[in-house]
Amino acid sequence: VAALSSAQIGDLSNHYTDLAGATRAILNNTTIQLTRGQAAALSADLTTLSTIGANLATTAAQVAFDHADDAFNKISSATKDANAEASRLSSQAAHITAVVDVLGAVVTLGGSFGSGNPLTVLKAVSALETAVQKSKST
Amino acid sequence: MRVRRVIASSSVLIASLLAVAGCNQKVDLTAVQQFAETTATAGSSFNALASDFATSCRRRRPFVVDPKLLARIDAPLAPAYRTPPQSMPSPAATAALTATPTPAATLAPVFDDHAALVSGARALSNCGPEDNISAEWQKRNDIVVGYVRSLGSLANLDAVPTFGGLGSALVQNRVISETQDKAFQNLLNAIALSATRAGQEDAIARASVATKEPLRDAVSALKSVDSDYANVLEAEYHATFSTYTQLICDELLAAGHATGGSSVGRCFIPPTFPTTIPAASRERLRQETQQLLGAVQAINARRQATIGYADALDAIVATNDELATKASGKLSLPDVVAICKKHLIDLATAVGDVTKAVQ
Repeated sequence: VAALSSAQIGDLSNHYTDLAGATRAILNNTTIQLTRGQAAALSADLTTLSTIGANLATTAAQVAFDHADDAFNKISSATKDANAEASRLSSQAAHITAVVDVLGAVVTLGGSFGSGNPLTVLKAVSALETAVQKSKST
Repeated sequence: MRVRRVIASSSVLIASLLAVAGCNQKVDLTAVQQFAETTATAGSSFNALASDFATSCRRRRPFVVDPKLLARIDAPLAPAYRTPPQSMPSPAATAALTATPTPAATLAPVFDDHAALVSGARALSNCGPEDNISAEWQKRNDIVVGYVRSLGSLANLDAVPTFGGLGSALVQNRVISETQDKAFQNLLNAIALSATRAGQEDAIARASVATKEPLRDAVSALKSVDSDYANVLEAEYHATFSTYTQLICDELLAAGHATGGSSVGRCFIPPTFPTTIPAASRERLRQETQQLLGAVQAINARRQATIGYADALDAIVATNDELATKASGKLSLPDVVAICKKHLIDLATAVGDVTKAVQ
């Protein structure tokens, strides 16, 4: 079975389910008179054919997945790259904002010296420290 | 003279920057957001479908009776004489004529070959392989859905730096006026937006080109498994239908209400049960019929979902293919929006079908 492709095993599965369908059609045919034994036999056939069809379908699915491993790996890799790029762009924006805020704090500090108020200068220094810390963390 | 040159150069620079700002108005990303949201919804619905690969096996399992057992119970044919071919009388025919009829219980089961096929593959009650497929299917659905969501995240990225901190400090210290600040804020925002957008577009283009072929192969595998799942559902349908009809048939035969009497003939589920059947039996038959109809309806809904699932995958591949084709030239964010918009209805309809069916 391993030598067959997923599509070939899938075809086999289709044949078995088709046979099961045909068997059920005989069971349901109002013009065919069956003994109870024949009906029971066909019912058992129907169950068996269905089970084989389902088992083959399961094998076909596993082969399909195995065959496509490489494709899925490539998609995973592209997804990781895309997410990393999104993260990089976000970090970059946050970092630029933080650096601009540092510049703003420097300008505010420069202006505070002209105010002659030590409290204003202290506040400006504190704001600059905060802005620098934030820029380091981004 | 030098001052004039500086003014002229500055004018050109400002004009260029304003042009950049003009070209980089915010793009309406509603279609991309809807595409991403629909794909997110698809993730849970797809996984419900994948999970049912194993659940279908478990629903079918109680109905799968060992064929040998059925053969022992129902094998009614005693050995009988058969006319041998005229040209070469068979010793077996003579033996058949003289043989003592074998008791039914010791008859060779009619279904030995089939039983060997089934149990030879694996035990009837074992759904382990289906469990593996369900887990694998979910994992791989997540890979495809995760990829589409990463594209959506890239397109919807809100990653533009702000310059308000510097602007207000400059205004506060009277380096620039509020009007100048507003104008420069707009300009800087436009430049930043342009830089971010270029990064987004490049990343989307790279991803769509890198996954063009792999996504097709992956979706082809997923559709193949979807088709296999349809066969698993068909097996469930046959097992369910066969078991219930036989159960109902047996009860009708036992009650003497089936076509052909108690030993010969087929019976069918009548549209309305004969009123002569005792009320208790009638109620049980009605319930069994309801259960059968309910089971068949559920199976049919899931079969419908397999079509929706394949359609949704097709919409995802078509979107990625178009992005990759456009990316071979220059892919812009408005292109991404237009492509998502084009395939959104197909995707949403297909995902809606799957969601409705698996609820």
